[in-house]
Amino acid sequence: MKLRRHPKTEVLKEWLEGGGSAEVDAHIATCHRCAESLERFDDELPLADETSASVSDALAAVLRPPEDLTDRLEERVVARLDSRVMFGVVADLFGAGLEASKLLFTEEPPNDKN
Amino acid sequence: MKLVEAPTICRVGKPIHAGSIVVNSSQADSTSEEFSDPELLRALVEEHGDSVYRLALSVARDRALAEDIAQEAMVKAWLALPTYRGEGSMRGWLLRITHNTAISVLRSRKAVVMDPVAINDISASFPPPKSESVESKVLGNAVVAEFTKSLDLLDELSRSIVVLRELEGLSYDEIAEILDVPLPTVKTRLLRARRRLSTALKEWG
Ligand SMILES: [Zn+2]
Repeated sequence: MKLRRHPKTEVLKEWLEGGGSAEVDAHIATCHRCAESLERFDDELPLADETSASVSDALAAVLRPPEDLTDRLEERVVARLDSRVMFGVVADLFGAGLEASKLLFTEEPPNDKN
Repeated sequence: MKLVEAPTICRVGKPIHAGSIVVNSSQADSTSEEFSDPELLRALVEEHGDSVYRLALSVARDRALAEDIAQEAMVKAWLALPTYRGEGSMRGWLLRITHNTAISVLRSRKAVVMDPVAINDISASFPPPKSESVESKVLGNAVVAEFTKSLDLLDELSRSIVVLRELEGLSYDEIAEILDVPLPTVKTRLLRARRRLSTALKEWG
C-alpha cells in the first residue's frame, strides 16, 4: 500500500535513520519531492566526521576481488564457451539441431534485458 | 591498468567502441559461437571483471558464489555481445547483466527476499573477516566486523546502489537503468545506506 500524501518531516527524518513503515518505503521509492526533502535533511542532520570517501574505502576493502580473479575468470569463461561449442559439434554428429542441443545443455535461457 | 572509457558508437559496418574495447563489425555480425577472439575476451574480463565481481559479491555476500555469478554474467555478456548496440556504456550493460544474473541465481536458490521494500535478507552474510586479511590490515578487525555487519543488514537493493555509486562512480541515472528502479529509489536508498555505513565506521573512530 502506498501513501497518497507526502509523509511528514519527522517521518522522513526517521526513515533516513532506518525507521519507517513499508507504506513510507513504497511512497519514497517513487516520489521526487520526498527524495529532494531527504537530500536536504541529510545535509542538515549531523553525522560527525562522516565522509563519503571513508565509506568507499571500506567498501573497496571489504569487497576486494581476489588477486588472480582475471586469470581465473577468463579461464572459466573460456571453458564454458568451449563446452558450448563442443555441444554444438556433438549435436551435429548426432543429427540434432544446435538450438535443440542448447536447450538440453544450458542451465537456463538468456533472459537478460539487453 | 586504468582504461579510459571511449564514446560508444554503433552503426552497421562500423566498429563498436565499448569502453577501451573495440568490437569489429564483422565479429559483431557473426553468431555467438563464431564470436571467438581470445584477446577481446581477455580485454573484457580485464577491464570489467572486478566491477562485475564486486557487484555480484554485494548481492550474493559469498565469495565463491560471487565468482560463479561473475562467470555466468561474463558468458551471457559474451554470447550477447553481437547484439550489443553500443547504447550507454558497456560497463553499465555488463553490470545490468550481472545484477540480473545474481538475482536469478539467488532466486533459484531461494536465498533472497525479492521485495525491494524489504529491509533484511538475512539468509546469507558476508564472510567474517580474518585477522590477517587485507581488509583487516586496512581498516582494523573491529571496524571491518562492524562495517560488514552494517552492510549485511542493508537490503540487497541498497547494497547494489551503494556499490554502484561509491565504488563504480556511476550516475544516479545509470544506476536506475542498471537496477531497473525509479530515480528517487536510487537517491533515497543511497542516502540512508551511506548514513548507516558511516555510522558503523564512526563508532570505531
Ligand atoms: Zn512524497
